[in-house]
Amino acid sequence: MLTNFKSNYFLRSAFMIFIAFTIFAVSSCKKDPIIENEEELITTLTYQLVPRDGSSPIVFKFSDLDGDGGINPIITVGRLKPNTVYDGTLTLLNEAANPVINITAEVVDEADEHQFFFITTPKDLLKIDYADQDKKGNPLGVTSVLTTGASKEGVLKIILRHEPSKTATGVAAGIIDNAGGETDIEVNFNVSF
Amino acid sequence: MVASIEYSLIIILGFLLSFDGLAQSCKIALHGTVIDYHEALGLGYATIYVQEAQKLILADSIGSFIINDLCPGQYHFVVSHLGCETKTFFETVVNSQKLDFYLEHHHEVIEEISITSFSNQAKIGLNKTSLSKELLNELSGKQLAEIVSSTAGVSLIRTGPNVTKPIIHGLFGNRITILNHGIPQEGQSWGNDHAPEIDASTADKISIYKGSNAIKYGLQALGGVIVIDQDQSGYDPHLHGEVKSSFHTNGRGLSLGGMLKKATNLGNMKGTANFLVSGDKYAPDYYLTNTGERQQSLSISLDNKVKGNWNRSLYYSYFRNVNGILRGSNVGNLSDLNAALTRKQPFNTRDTFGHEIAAPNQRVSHQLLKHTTNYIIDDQRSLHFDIGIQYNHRREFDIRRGVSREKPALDLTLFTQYYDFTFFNTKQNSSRTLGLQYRNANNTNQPGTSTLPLLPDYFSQLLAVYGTQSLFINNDWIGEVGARLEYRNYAVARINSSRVIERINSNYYNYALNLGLKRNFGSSRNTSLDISYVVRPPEVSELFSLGLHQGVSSIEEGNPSLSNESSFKIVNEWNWAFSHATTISSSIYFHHFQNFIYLQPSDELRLTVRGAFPVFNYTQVDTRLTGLDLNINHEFGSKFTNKLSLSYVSGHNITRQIGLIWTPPFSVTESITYRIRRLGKFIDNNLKIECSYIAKQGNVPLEEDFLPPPDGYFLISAVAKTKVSITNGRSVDIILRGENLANTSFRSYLNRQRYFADDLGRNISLILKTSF
Repeated sequence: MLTNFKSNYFLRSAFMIFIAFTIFAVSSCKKDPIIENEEELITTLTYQLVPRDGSSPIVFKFSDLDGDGGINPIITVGRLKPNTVYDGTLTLLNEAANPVINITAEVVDEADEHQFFFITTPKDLLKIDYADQDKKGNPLGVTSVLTTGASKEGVLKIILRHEPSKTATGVAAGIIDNAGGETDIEVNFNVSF
Repeated sequence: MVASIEYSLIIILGFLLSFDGLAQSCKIALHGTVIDYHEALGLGYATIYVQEAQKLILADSIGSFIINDLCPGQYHFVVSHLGCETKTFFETVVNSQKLDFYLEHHHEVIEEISITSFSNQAKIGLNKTSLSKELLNELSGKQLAEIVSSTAGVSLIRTGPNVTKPIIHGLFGNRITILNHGIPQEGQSWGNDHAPEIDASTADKISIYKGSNAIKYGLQALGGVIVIDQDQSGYDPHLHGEVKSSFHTNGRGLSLGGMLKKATNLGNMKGTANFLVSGDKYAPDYYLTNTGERQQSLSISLDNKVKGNWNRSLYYSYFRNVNGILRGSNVGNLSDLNAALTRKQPFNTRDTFGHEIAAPNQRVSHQLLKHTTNYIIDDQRSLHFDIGIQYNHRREFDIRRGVSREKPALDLTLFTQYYDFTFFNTKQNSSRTLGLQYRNANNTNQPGTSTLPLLPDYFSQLLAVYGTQSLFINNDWIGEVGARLEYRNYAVARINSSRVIERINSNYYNYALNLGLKRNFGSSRNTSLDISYVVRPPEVSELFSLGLHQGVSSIEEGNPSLSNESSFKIVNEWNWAFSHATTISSSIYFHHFQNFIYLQPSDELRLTVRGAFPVFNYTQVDTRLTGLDLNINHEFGSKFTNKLSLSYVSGHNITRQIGLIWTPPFSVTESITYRIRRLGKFIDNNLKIECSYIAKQGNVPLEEDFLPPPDGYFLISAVAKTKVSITNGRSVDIILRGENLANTSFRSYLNRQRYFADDLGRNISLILKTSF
């Protein structure tokens, strides 16, 4: 006996399910995921140092073009001279993007939320002073003055912090301990002069 | 299901009665008993208020009553008993007849045996623990995991104040299942910082099954199941409802919720709506900056009888949550983490209370649409068909720079479908279920995040057949066996480490077996044994995760060569009443895993432009969990109740010969309740004082963690509550709850923010509830 299709609730449900299945069998192939453009990614940091004595500039460079993981970063270090004063400029790039994005501009735009820190081991390896400020008069560090003394060897660590507490004790003097915030960059350069 | 059948019986009864209706004078007499639903005992001196007739009747010492001189008509019977949830029954009265009312007794935790009723429910374990409505009221404003963790053997893993996940017998995440109105909840359960997307305040009933329930609910249920359900409302053509509000001092939180129900031409309708808002919570010594929360939820249900033996129900729920993540727990790299670990007070802590939620935060929404059809073939056989469709959307916002500032760092949608078709055959002394299940999940990373996804896009499908057979051997012995076969397919499209799209298709064939045995010693003593063997395939997240999990500042790498994980669990439960005053319930378990999948830290520190990050790989090891839960309830006279509960679990990583990470520490809770049944207009007055001690987790893998486990701690909490009668048998519940009353500073091993901040300080909550 054929029951009326409309009144047979069970048949109707089964039919709906059949349709749902069919739709899914068709749509079950996943589309290609979109490879996002990592706008924030910083692949390259260069620290250009121009000696005040007029000799040729040197460059410290850290670059990791494939971002986190993958191929190891490439680090190049120019040779500093003892007892010299340099004008330093930091540049940050995203070279994985096409065209290349200059991240330094973003950092300067949001200067009050960023600060570079220069940390040396041993502590008296070099002297680095901030040469720029944000709107509130706190240091930023895109430009700096680096002064070397007698011949030494050690490590220069450059850190960029996002949203540090710029007013916390010591932070304006370049001491990172109370700064907090997130690290956007942390790179080490082995230097000797 | 049982309830819905009962409900259909009531309707049928109602029909029969109404046809019987010849003209009657107002001489109808009703007699019956008010019965404790769980113990099938009469409830002495219960009161029955007949609203329409304005009659108040008192039952005798064994719960029997007679109501005389009623006219034919429709009546609301408000039945109450000290220590019970007051319930309203709607009945059509035509003739003198017998009428029994069932009430639920106010035990906080009810050990229920689902099988004895031989319900139309596929087996999910011999024993379950249900939380009473009273306890749910007491814990208003709390999250699901916090509510269920009031049971021995259940604890929770947290990421700060707002994100909690339940742990059953030491397992969580992919190994336990939450049944949201009968449908397995599907969310991004892979992240320890992802709470289940459910509003616990929509639940009338929450139960926990501690055995393996992989037979019906899938291999993910190997560690246990948490069941969230609504009461089946009896037929009542009038509008009834409930209003509940709560205020919390910690976080200056406010929650408001309501429920309305009515039987209409369409069927029984019920709707709930809740909202919650809260600002920064505080630890005893400082504010936990950016830990505010907003939550909204809505649900609608409709159930009706189509005709003859057809029943159906429709349920829809919507849940939305925005929660802030502690500002100071957001760290950039390993050196930031190390700096944060040494802080007494987290970085970026504000001195003042704040209500707004900034980055980092999580914004989650979840929708569930469920349809159930039930066809009763005859007295013994029935068919049951469930469809569940869920849509989950998770967005996580990080602290970002420039144009990416407003973009989520993670934006995932998960669309899932669940179809389950079950056949039941219940005989006098045996019952059988056979089921066929199809599920699929479509996980998609939404474009626009400007990050590479941690979890790949995938489409997974699951097809399973299962069956259970239970047997009443005699009055004392009940046995049950179950088996499930499951096929799973993953179609994954991922972006590999060289940024090339890779397509992977993999198939898994798995199974689960279960054996249960139960022995009754009279009506109030029993023991059960549950043995299960479950083989679970690795989840997509475990196979193919790749990238930086910012919330935990580590690089996570899936392992495509993971094999199946097999679990063998034995649970032995005891429920023993020594007298009417003392009951003991305990469960002892042994759980062995071969190829247990977990995130293991590798020795590698990966150098990036942001500094070094620890690398965690999904790895397989053999593990063992052994534990004991114990509950002792003792009543001293009619005024005092003493309750002691303790949980102990030992987790061992056999392969590496170390402790298993994230295993709950030993905990013991002692509470004393003082009860005054009646104080003038105030009834069911309770004062409960509770002390808990959570020990230091001694058995830990130091080499797999950032910090050694925190010390043990004592917490004191208290609840005072009363019910104020108004008119017409109606009342208002007033509950005052205090937590961490001594304002103790502590850090919990199971809180992932323990690396950065203390846990929550004192909180006082006021809860008001009334129904009409």
